[in-house]
Amino acid sequence: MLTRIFVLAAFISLSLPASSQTGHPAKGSWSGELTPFTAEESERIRLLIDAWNGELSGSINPGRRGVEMSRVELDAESWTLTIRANMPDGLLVMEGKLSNLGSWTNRKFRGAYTLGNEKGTFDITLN
Amino acid sequence: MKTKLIALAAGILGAIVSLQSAAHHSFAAEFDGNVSVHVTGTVIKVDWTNPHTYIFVEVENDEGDYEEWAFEMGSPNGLMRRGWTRNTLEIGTEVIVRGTRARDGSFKGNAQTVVIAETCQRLFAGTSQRDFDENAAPKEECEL
Repeated sequence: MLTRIFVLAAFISLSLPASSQTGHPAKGSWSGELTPFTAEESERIRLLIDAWNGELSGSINPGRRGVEMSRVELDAESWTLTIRANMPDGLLVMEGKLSNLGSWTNRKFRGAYTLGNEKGTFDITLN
Repeated sequence: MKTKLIALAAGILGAIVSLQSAAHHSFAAEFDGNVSVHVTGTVIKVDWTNPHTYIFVEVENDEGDYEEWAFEMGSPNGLMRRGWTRNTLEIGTEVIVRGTRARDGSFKGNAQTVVIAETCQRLFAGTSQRDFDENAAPKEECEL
């Protein structure tokens, strides 16, 4: 009887941390900066990415002035995430790697982007 | 043996209850009712949880830097009684939040009212501040 209770307690204790391990690694609300190579100031960017049946979708700067992503792809072998969106300033292409995947609040998406003729790097964190 | 089992069960129950109660606290212990906060920003996250709902708002300060503010609100049930639904605030919604600031000076507050900038809809946030009078709360200028 005592063994059964210990087994039950072990399952309960394991289920608590496991409950926070769900969800696609790219899914969620992200915030960060686009930093052009030619400018000193960065530009704020927010991403909202959703995952449904293995398909990714989302928007850039969600809200009143949000722009839907035209393409979102994740290469799960290298954790490379590629996002495309037709922004008012031109086509935005972001390609970078997801890192710190074990973190629920400090997950990173870092890489390089092009926006029309502009090029730069980005550093974005899961909110 | 029976006593040990009861003690064990009580211990497990106590651990579960303590996880929930850790998030429940008095207003005065965490927030200073004399220090008001009034920010305009963009919702980046909503935690619709008991005993308190939290909204996280990205705010651009005077220096052009971005601050992430966390605002404690009432319980989901308390908010629903005030007209909220789980989908009232979507990610990217621009809001004006009025409330009181955390005693530790961090970017944390206890929200009294939340105004949705696009519609000018004002919602009460179910603050646990006892002397807050919803009928006397000031209205916001909501044009952005």
